[in-house]
Order: sequence, then structure tokens, then C-alpha cells
Amino acid sequence: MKKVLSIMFVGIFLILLFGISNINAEEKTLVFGRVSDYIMDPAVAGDDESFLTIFTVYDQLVTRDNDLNIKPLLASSWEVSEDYKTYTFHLQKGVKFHDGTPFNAEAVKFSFDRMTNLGKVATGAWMTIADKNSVEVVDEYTVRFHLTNPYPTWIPADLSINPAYSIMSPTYVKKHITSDDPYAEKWMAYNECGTGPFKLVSWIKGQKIVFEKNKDYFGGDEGISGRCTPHVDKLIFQIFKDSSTGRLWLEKGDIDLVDKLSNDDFVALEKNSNIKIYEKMPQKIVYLTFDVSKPPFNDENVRKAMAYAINYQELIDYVERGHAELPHGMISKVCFGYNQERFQYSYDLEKAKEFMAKSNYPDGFTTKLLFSPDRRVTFQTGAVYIQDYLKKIGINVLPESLAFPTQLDICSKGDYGIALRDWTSFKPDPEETAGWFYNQARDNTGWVCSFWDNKEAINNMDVARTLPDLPERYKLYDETDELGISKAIYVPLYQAANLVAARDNIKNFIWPSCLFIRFDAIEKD
Amino acid sequence: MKIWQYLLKRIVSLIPVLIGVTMLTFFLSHVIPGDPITLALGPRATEEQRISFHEKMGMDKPLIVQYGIYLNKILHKDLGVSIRTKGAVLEDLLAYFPATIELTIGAMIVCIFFGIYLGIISAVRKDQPIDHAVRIFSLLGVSMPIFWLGFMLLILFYGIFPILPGGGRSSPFVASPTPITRLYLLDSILTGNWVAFKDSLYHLILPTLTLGFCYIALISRMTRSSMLEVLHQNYIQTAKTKGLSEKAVIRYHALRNSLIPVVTTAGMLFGELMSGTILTEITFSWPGIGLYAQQSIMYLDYNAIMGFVLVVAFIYAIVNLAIDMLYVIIDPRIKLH
Repeated sequence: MKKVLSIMFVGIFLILLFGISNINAEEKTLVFGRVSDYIMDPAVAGDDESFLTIFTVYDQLVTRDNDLNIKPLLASSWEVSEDYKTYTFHLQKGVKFHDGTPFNAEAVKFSFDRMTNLGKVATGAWMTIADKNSVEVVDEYTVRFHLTNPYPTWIPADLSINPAYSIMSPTYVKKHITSDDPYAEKWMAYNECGTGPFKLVSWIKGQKIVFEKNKDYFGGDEGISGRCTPHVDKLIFQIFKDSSTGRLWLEKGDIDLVDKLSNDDFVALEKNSNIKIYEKMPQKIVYLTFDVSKPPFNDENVRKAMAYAINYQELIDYVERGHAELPHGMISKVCFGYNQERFQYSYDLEKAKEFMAKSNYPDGFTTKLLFSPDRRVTFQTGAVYIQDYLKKIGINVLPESLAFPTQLDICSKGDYGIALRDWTSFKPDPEETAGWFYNQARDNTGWVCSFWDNKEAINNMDVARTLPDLPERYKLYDETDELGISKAIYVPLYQAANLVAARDNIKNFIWPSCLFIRFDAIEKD
Repeated sequence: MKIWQYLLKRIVSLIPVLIGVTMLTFFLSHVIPGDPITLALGPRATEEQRISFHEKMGMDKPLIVQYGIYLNKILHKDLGVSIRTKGAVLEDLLAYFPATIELTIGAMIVCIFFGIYLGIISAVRKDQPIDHAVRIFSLLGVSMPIFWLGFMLLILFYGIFPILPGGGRSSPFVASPTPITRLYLLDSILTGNWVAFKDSLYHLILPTLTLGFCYIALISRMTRSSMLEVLHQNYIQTAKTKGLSEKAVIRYHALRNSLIPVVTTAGMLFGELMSGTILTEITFSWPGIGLYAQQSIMYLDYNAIMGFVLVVAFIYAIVNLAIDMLYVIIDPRIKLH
């Protein structure tokens, strides 16, 4: 027995001694660490993470360049009718999908109709402005959209920055249709056939996703509107589960870039001379929301007291380790029409106590603070800080950690105490922020739960959405937000940045504020 | 009763167990407040989209009807669609479960091998320094948090001394072996893929050692106490008097007789290991079922939760069956009925 075991151990030792296989040194490979894999069907995906993957393999009709100007991509030019209901796009010629089939107007119609029929795309305005008859093939390289409602800002606020509008190969999708899956939803969640700079090679769930460069990318080496043939041969998304592991991999050089580490790990990496940290302008607002239609939060003095009681800078420095900015209303910095000059609450404990004294609850009250750490890890710490701040003005807060669906359910019913929330506006348009927070008092799902039934605000948001004059439009959002902030309907806490850590041999890292990492542009020494 | 009759009886009795487990899980998970559709579609979905999705997933029907539909689907090998990943639950489980099984089996081997060996040494050298050393060693294992130990080992053998990989099941540049059982080590042996074999083995070392070490105490302590009981028996004295060496006494008489309680513990161990895998999976970025199950629960992904529970219940039952069969093999005095 002993002999057998010894031989086995020696054998294994020898196998291990002669090492694992070699890396193919001729191919340039970029490895990006991610915390999870996400589905890549543009007609179904609804989150930022999926869009990063989609952006890598698919193109859209219109895009933004690195200076955020609207630029052509799969469409070379376009016309918009005066009533903003008819959009005509002239398409690029000679572009091919990854399966070799040609890109044309039929493909555009197919992709948009698939979105309509699936009915699952929940980002962007498509489901509210189009129906099954909206897309018309005029000729092989001309496609016309007949919107059901006028939408003057469709291109700037939606089409040019939303990867949900990606174009896929009809030939490829049709091959994977089955009787109970007429739109190949199951297949397209984990496969692709776009025109983008990278092609999917393999996907091992939970481990890694491998892409290779599309040598025939129509943007070529010079590029088109910021997108070009990649400088690396392979791109790998390597999945890690724990922030410390991701950091260790980056430090050892097993991955080249990584996002979504904890703030502590980013701070530690900043001190590493081989690592560079890239920060993207804040798109995420972290805020407090409460039911303003019922006591105690229907009392404006209570709300203002809370707004003055929060030590915003301390939250930024300690909870977010400096990677955040002070809030400016409920419109995030990345949005067009962002107004830095408006009134904001600042930390003023004396004022907070004055407002509390003036309110119907001079002796304070007890309430709950609901939060979901699965939404944002820092909420755990943030809740404790907020509890401390509110205690100083007599509000006794009991933090309650809940799974997010449960929190949503509780908030949808109203009178839930205070909820600590985050909101990401991935579109650089105030419709995504103010438009979202003020266009209704509440929805059935609990996402919007201020219960502020202000006719003026709701009407403004309705009007602003389809206002063709952009400066007028931004002004209306701004004024409505100003009204909301003056009454402290919400208490915005800070704007959190997104960060990426990369090794110093990574060059030409471009990350436009309203788009995603341009892996095609990255060069690796 | 013949073995095959016993096996049949046990497999048939599995069915009411699985039905009971699924029924309990189904109704319990639906009692939790929250609507998974809200999260799946995101905040920007329209009311029509939400209603339509509800209907498509059959969630507008009464609970008992939904449960009936689910049971019927299982008979057609359809475990439903995951609201969160949008893929078929069966495919998700096939993608993630084998990794957990591989990790659990590896940890079992570490546990049992070292546990029995150390248990025997402690029993035979009772109250001597080696016995105390083994006791401390085992206690350390069971007291240490898995994720802490795992990460310390990672820093040591990957961070400081670059001997082992930093996690995952395979390197970025190595293709995984052709899936047959989806257990990488086994598949690479079956397909003769030595590159994948080496790579998988390398990646398996730290996670199995970590997970195994934390549970060695279970086996070693049970082996020790069981062995001590057997060593006091008369027939052991007789064997020694007859002139058998200590090694021979242990190998031929003591070990087999002391294994029954150890086998029972090993059965429980499997369950403990499976529940311990999630922390190991997180530390070593092991693409197992742990995190999938946890996220399914957080997102109230009913189909995924049910699928996971069903498979775990099934595995438990099979392991228990195997343990019972082992009893018969080890101790011929035990009869099946």
C-alpha cells in the first residue's frame, strides 16, 4: 500500500514539475478580469455589464466618438422628419457579419423587429415608440423608421449610446430558431453574430470568455468614429469571484485589467508602481428615498433636517475611499445639461437641528433604514454612518439588510422608512435621472418610491421628454430637479465613480463617459 | 434480501423524498416577499412588459397549478428557464455542478486519506506527543475560516512563491478537456489530454487542500475513538499474543472493524463539504454551483432554486445509499432489509 502511494505521489510530482503548458507567445492577448459573465443578447440584456460585452462584438447604427460627438457607424448618414416620427438611415456598404453574410437593411429590420417581438428590451425607449410595423426596408442600403410617437431626442439620448440597438446577422439567428424558441433567445444569450471588432470564440460559464480579433472589421486600422480593428489578437474575460483574488491576479500580471474591485483594493493598488488606475466620470448616484406622502417624511422640515445632517465628504472619504464626488441634485455629472451652480445641501449640523426643532417631531422618532448589500457592497458601511448622522438630530434609525427583490416589494407598498439606493444613468441624458425620479409618484415595482405626487413635476417630465430644443429640454429637467431638491424629496449622498485598474504595459486605454471600454483601441507592450 | 432488490427499493423510495423536498422548497421560496421579474427586467421595463413576462413564466397561475406544471416539466427533462441568467436551468446546472462535485470529491479524498491516517496514528500512540500534535492540527483545521485559510495559501503559493495558479479551474490559455463527465481530471484522462490533466490538477490542489483541511478533524477524531474501542477488544489481544506485528494487527483486524462509524461520518462529511464549497469557490474563483445557488436565492430565481435543491437532494440520497452499501461490504454481519 505504502509503495503504491509513494509511486503515485512521485508520479504526480514529476508531472507537476514539468509544468503546465506554454502560453502561445506569438499571439498578443489581453486578459480582463470580471466578477461574472453576463448574457450578450442585446434584445434582452438590461444591465451595464452585459452592455460592455455587447459593445465589444456588436455595432450600432449611430455612435459617439471619444469626444462624445454623435457620429455614424453602421449608418453613414441619416435624415429626421420635422415631426420627429420618421428617421431614415443610409447604411454602410460592404460590411460583413462575423459569419460572412452581408450587413444590409434587411438585417437592421430583422434586429429591430426581433427586439419588438421578444418584448424584453427594457432599456431605452424602443418599446414605447415603435411597433411591429415601424421598420421599413426602402432598398438594400436604406432603412426607414416610422415611430408611433414623436421622439426628438432618439438619436442623442438613446440610439447613439445604447447597445440594445445592436445589429445581428439574420442568417445566423434563424439557424438557431426552434419551435419553442422562435427568436433563438436561449442561443443568443451566449452566442453572437455581430459586425464588431471582436468575435466570440468560446465561453466556459463561470470561468472565461474568449474573443478573437475581427481581422475584417470595417473600421479598419484607421478606425471609424473611434472604433477600429483591434491591436491585440485575443481578448479574454477571466472570471474571478472575490475582490482580493482579482487584485492578486492583477499584481502578478495574470490579468491585464480589472474592474469592480472593492474600494480598499483600488486604494491599495494605487500605491503599486506597476498599476495604473483609470476613473470614469461618475454615473451612479447613491441617495436616500422615503415616502413623502405619509408621516414622518411628509414633513418638509424633517427632510431638510436629514439633508443637512449628512456629512457628505466623510461618506466620500471613508465609505467610498475618495472615489466619489459630492452630489448635485438627482442629475448625475455625466448627463448633458448638468448644472454645477445650483443650490445643494451641505453638512451643517446646527441647521439640521434647527429644522428638526421646527418640525412636528422636535424630539425625533424611530424609523428603519433599508439597504441591499448585493446592490452595492459599500451600503453595509454607509448604513452605519447614516445611522450615526441621523442619531445626532434625534432620528433613531434601525438598519435592515434585505435582498433587493424583497426591498423593492416592501418599498412599493409605501411607508417603509428610509431606503438607501443607487441609480446608474448609463445614458448621458437627464431623462435617465431627473426624468426617472420625478416623472411619477411611484411605480408598482418599488424602483420609484418617493410617492411625490406633484402635478407640475410630473407634467414637466412628460413635456421635456419630447421637447426638440435640447437646451430648453435640459433646462426643464434642471428646474424640476431644483424644485425637488428644494423640498428635499430625495437626499442624494454622492456620485460614485467607476474604476478600472490596469498594468502599466497597457496603453491607449479609452473609456468614454457614456460608452464602454474600447478594447479595440488598447495596445499592449 | 438480494443487493439488487435492496437497490431497487431504495431508488423507488427516493421519489417521495424528492417530491417532498421540492414541494417544501417551492412553497417556501414563493412565500418570501419580492418579485423576481422586477429585477430581471430592470427598472425601465413597461407595465405591459412585466405582465407579459409574468404570463410567459406562468407566474399568473395559482401556486398549486404552478407546482403541478413544474413537476410535469421535470418528467420531460425541463427544469425551466432561469429568470436571472435567461438560460435553461438544466444547462446552468450542467455548467456549474460538475465543478463543485470535483472539488467535493477531491476534498473528500484529502479528508479521508489524511483523516484516517492521522486517526490511526493518534489511536495507536494514544496520549503520546504525536497524539497531541494531531489533535492540535485537526482542531486548527476545524477552527480556521475556510476563506481565510484559502487566501493565506493563495498568497503563499501564488503571490509570494509562484508555484501554483491563483484560482479558476483552468488557465486562460488552456482549453478545457472535451466534456464527457465534465469532471476535468477524469475527462482529460479519458481523452488522453495530458496538457489539460496537468493544468486541472494544478488548479485543483489548493482548493481541495483548503476545503479538506478544514474538515479533517471530523474523520480523524472519529477514527481515533473508534479505533481505540476496537484496540481494547479481546481478539486484538489474541492477535498480538499470536505474534502479529502492530502494523499487521491494525491492517488486518483493527481498521476494518473500526471503519463503520467512520463511514457514517464520511457520509455526513459529504454534506458538510458541499455546503462549505461556496466559500472555497469564492476564494479560488472556482466556477461551482455555490455562488449560482446563492445568487438565485438573492434574486428569487425560483426555477434555479428548485433545480439546485433537486440536484442536491438527489446527490444526498445517492451518497446515503452508497454509504449503506459500504456498510455491507465492510461488515459482512450487516444484512440488508
